[in-house]
Amino acid sequence: MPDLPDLDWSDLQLPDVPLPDLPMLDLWGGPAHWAILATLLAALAGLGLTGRSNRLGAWVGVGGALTAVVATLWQLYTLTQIRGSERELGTIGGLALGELEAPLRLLVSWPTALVAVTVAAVALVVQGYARWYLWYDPRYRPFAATVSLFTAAMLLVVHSDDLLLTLVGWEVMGWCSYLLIGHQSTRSAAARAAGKALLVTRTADIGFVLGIVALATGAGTTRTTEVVAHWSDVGASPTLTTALCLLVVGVAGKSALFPFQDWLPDAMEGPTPASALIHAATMVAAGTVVLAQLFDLLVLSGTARTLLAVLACVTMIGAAVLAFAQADLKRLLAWSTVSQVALMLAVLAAATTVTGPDAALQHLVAHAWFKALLFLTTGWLGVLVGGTAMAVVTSGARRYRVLRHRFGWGLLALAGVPPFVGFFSKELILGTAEAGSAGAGGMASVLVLASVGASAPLTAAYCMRAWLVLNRPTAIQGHAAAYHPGPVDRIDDFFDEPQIVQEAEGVERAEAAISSSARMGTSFLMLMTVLGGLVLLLPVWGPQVHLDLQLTLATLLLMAVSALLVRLAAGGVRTRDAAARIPAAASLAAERGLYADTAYRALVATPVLALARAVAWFDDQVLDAWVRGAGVGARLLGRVGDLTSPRRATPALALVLAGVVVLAGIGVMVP
Amino acid sequence: MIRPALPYLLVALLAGLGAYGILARRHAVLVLIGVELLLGAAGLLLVTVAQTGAGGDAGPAVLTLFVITIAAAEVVVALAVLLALYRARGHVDLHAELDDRPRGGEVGDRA
Amino acid sequence: MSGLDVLFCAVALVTAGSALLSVTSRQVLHAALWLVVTLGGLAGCYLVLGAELVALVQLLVYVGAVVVLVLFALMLTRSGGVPVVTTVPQRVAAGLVGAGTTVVLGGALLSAFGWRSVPVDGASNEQVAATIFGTDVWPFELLSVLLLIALVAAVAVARAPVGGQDDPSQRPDTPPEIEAVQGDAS
Repeated sequence: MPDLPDLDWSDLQLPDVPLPDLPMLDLWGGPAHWAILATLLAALAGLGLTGRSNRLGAWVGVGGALTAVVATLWQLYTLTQIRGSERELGTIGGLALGELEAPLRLLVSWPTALVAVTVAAVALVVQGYARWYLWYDPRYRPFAATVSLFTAAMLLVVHSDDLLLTLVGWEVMGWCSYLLIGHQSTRSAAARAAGKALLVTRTADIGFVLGIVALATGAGTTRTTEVVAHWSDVGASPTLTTALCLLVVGVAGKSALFPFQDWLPDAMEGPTPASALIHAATMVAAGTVVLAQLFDLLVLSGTARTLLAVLACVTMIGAAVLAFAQADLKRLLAWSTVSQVALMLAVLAAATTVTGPDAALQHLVAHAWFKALLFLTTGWLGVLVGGTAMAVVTSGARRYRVLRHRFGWGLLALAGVPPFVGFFSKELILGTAEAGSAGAGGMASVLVLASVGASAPLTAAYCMRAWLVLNRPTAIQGHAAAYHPGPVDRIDDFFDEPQIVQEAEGVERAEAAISSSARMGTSFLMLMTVLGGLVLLLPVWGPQVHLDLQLTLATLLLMAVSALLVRLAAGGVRTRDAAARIPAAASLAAERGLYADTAYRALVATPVLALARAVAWFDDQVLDAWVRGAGVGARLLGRVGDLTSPRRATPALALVLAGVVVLAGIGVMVP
Repeated sequence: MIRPALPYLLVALLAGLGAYGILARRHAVLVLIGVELLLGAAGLLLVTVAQTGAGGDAGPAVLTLFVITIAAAEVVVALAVLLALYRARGHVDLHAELDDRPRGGEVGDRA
Repeated sequence: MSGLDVLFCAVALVTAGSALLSVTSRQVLHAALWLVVTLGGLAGCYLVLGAELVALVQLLVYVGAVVVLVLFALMLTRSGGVPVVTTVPQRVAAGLVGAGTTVVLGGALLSAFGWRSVPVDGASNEQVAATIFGTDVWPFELLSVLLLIALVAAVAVARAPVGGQDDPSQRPDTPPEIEAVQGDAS
C-alpha cells in the first residue's frame, strides 16, 4: 500500500460563509425555550385540547415539532452572531435546595445546537409520518402527544446545563418510551416489550441517579459546567471514578449497551414511527449527549473510560454480528442501532482532551438521519407488503421502486460508504480513536480503534445482506413496467383518508398509498444522508483530528471484501438471503438475542423474585406472627381479666385506684 | 405569713378520705360524696397555690372558679344518671353484680 | 406559728373531721349533712387563705346548690335502710388506697414546698374580675354554654325511657297511679 499522507480534518472543512445580517428579534426567552416549550405545550394540548379530533391532534403535534425546528434553526443563526459561540439561558430560576445550588440553566453551544436541530427535524418527520401510519389507530392522539413530550424531553437534555434538568428529561424519556413501545397495549408482546424496556432502563437508571447525586453533592451545585469545573480542579479521585462508573452504567442502560442490550430489539413491538424516533435521535442517543457534556470529567477517570470502552466494544461487535442473523428487517435495524450507538459511546471512551468529544455528536447527527430514513422506509414497506420479516420484504425495493433509493442510500450511509454522511462520521471516529491510541488515550483508545475497525466490515456485511434481499429481481417487475394504469392519486395530508391498497390495483397505485407529507419527510431524510456530510464539515465542530488515509482505504477495502463475501454467500439462496447459510440453531439463538431473556431471568429475575418471596415469607411468618401473637395474647389476657374481674363496681375501682396510687408513688419516688 | 404546708397537708388528707369514700361505699350517692371531697381537695390546692406561690397572678383563682362551676355541672349530670340507674334497677347499689349472667356455675348475689 | 396558721389549723381540723365522718357514717342522710360541714369548712379555709371571692362561690354553689341536689337525689332514690358500706376486706383495701393517696400526695407536696412561711399575696378581686371578663372571657362564656348543656342533658337523662323503651309505669311522673291514690283518698 502506498504511503499516503495524513489529511487534516480542517482542510476538508467548509470555509466560513458570510451570513446576511438578519434582524435579531427581541422575543421572550431564547430559541431553546421556544423549542422545548413548543413541544411540551403540543404534548399537553394534544392530550387535553384536541377533543376527539385526530386532525386537530395531528396539527398540534406537527405544529409543535415545526416550531421546534424553526426555533432551533434560528438558534443556529443566533450562535453565529454571538462571540464565543455559547449562549446561556435561565429557565424557571434557581431552586432552594439548602446547601445545594440548583440554578436550572440551559447552555447552547454549536454541537448541542446542531444536535437539537437534528432532533427537532426528525421529530417533525416522524409526526407527519405517524399521521399517515396511524390513521386508523383509535389512540393516535395520545401517540402524537407522547411523541411531542418525548421530543421536549430530548431537547431539554440536549440544552441542559443542569444535572437536575438532565435527570428530568432523562426520566421523562424513559416513561415516554414505555408509552410508545407499548402503544398497542392490547398485544401481549407489545406490553411485555414496554415493561421490559422500562424495567431494564430503570434498573440502570439507579446508577445514573446515584452518579449524578455523587457529582452534584461533591460540587455543591447541580450546574453542569460548575460541576465539571469543580471536579476538574479536584482531579482524579476515587469518588469521581465511582460516580462516573455509575453514570456509565446508567448510560449503558438507556443506550442498550451490553449487558442491557436486549430491550432495544424487543422495542420493535412499538409502531414504526416510535421506533424511528427512539432509535434515531432521542432516547438511545441521550447517553451520548450527557457523556459529551461531562466529557472533561470522563477523561480524568481511566477506570470509567475503560469500562465504557469495554462495554461499548463488546456491544458494537456483538450487535453487528447479531444484526446479520436476524430474520426480520426491523430487528436487523434495531441491532444495527445497538451497534451504532455503541460506536458513539466508544468514541467518547477513546477520545482525549486533544480530540474532544465532538466525533460522538457528529456520529449522533449522522446516525439520526440515516436511521430515521431506514426505519420510516421499512415501515412504509411493511404497510405495502404486510410485514417486515425478511421472507416478506424480499424484492421489496424492486416491487416498489419509490423505496429503492431510500433503502439504498440509507444502507450505504449506514455502512459508511462515501460520499454518504455515515462515511464522514465513521472516519471522524476512526481518526479520533487513532489519535487517542497514539496520544494519551491508552488502553481504551486502542481497544476502541480495533473494535471500530472490526465493526466496519460487519456493518457492511449486514447492510449488503439487507440490500440483496430487498433488491432481488422479481418477475412482477417486468409486468409492472408494461402496465400503466394512468395517473395516480396522491393523498393530501390531514384531509384525505388513505385508500385501502389492493394488490390487484397495481404496483404504482400502491406506491402512492402514503401521504405526501410522510413521503416528503422520507425524501428529506434521504437528502440529508447525502447533504448531512456538509453539516459534519461545518467549521463549528470542536478540536481537530487527522485522517489517516491509509486507514480509510484499508477500512473501505475490508468493507468491500465483506460485502463481496456476502454476495457470494447469497448466491445460491432463492431469496438471496445470505443469513440462510447460517446454521438454524445459531440463527435462532441470534433472533432471540443470544437468549439474553433467559439470562436476565436466571441472573436477575429469579434471584429478585426469590428475595421477594423470602421477604414476603419473613413478613408474613415472622413479623406478622408477632402482630398476630399480640392479638392472641391480648385476647387471652382479656379472657383472664374477664374471669378474674370482681364484676362489681367498687372492688374493681379499688384495684384501679390502687394501681394509680402505686404508679404515682413510683413517679414521686424515682426521681 | 402562713405556712403553705398546712393547707397541703389538708389537701392530702381530703384526697385520701375522698379516695376511701369512693372505694368503701356501695351507695352511689355516697360514692359521689367521695368524689366531691376529691374535688374539694383539688380546689384547695389551687387556692393555696394562688394565694402563696403565684405572685399575684389571678389565673389560679379564676381556674378555681371554673373548676367549681364545672364540678357543679358534673354533679347535676351524675345525679341524673343516678336517677336513671334507679329507675332501671330499683336500687343504686354499686356492690351488686353488674350483669345477671351466672358465672362458672356460681350464682351471683342478686340472681 | 403565726395567727393565720393557728386559725387555719382550727378550720382544717373541723374540715378534716367532718370529711372523715361523711365517708364513714352509716346513715346516708348524715353523710350528706357532714358533707355540708366539710364544704363549709373548705370555704373557711379559702377565707383564711385570703380568697374571699372563691370562698363565697364555694358556699353558694356547693353548700347551697350541690348539697341540696344530693339530698334530693337521696330522697328520690328512697335510700333509707339500704346497706351503704362494703365488706370488711374491701374497706381495709380502700383504707390502704386512701392512706397511700395521702402519703404520696402529702409527701410530694411537702417535699416540693417545704415547711417555711410565706406571705399571703393572692390576686385581688379586681384582678380576678379583670381576668374573667378580659383575658378569659371566651372560656367563661363557653362555661355558661356547658352549664346549659349539662342542665338539658340532666333532664334528658333523667326522663329517658328505661332500656330504650318508653314504659309509662317507669316514668317518674306517673299520673294514673297518683290519680288512683287520690281517688282512694277521696
